Amino acid sequence: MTEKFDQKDFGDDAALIKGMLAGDSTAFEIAVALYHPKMVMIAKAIIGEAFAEEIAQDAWISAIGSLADFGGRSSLYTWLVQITANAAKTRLRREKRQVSLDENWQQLDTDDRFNHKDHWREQVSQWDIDTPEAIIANHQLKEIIQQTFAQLPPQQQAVLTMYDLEGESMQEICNILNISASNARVLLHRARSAIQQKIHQYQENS
Amino acid sequence: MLKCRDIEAMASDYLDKDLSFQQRMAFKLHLFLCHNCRNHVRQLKTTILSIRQLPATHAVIVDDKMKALAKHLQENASKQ
Repeated sequence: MTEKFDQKDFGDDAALIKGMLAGDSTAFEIAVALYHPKMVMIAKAIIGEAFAEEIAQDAWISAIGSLADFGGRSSLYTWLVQITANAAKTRLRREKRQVSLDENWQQLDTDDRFNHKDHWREQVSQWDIDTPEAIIANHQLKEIIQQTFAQLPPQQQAVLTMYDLEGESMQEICNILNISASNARVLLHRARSAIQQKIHQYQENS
Repeated sequence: MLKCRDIEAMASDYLDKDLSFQQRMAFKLHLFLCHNCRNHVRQLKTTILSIRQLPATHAVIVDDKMKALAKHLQENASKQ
């Protein structure tokens, strides 16, 4: 059975931690629903698909083991992400695996939106639906954004989530993912640009 | 002089105010002269603001897999 909650129904970190320490099953479900997908996403961005789920589950067990000592110096989310990122980096060293770079790395060199003079090939029109509120209120556009987001390569997805959705600083993102600032900025732009292009296609064709 | 391709590549840095003063001036000069790039940067800005509105409207889903993991963690915690 699948249940849907709204994030605001869940109360704050302190209530959630108190619930988990008391062994309340709903608190565990809420915490997992809120944070597990993000932890898997961070693990994927660091070590790739194969070990991500296992690393996130191990990170939960280690986090819950020291939950009573978690002083609330950071948010629960930040703390869980750090535990996950550290576990993923340790595993990466152990596996001695090279994480393949973002598969769209060469995208800009083959970008066919520009001509040989590096000008736009086609006119860039203004969008008919051109405010964020109107875009999110449009069911199909919202769906397009969510689908495009879900299909982004893991590193792009992680950087976009942390920067644009969670409001993390670039420095923090680079520390968590172990990437350079210039790499992080390129990943962020690629992710935003992919979503922009899908919104643009929809607006041009409708 | 920046080309449209450069503007596309620098657009996120421009909107995040992550360009040097000189780069910013060159970027603005190009925007002043090029309506395609003005529209493009405006589209990107709208895209970013739309993305940032997502969490507020996004429901959190608890499926069977999540419930199983939550149960596993809860049992594990009670053994500790």
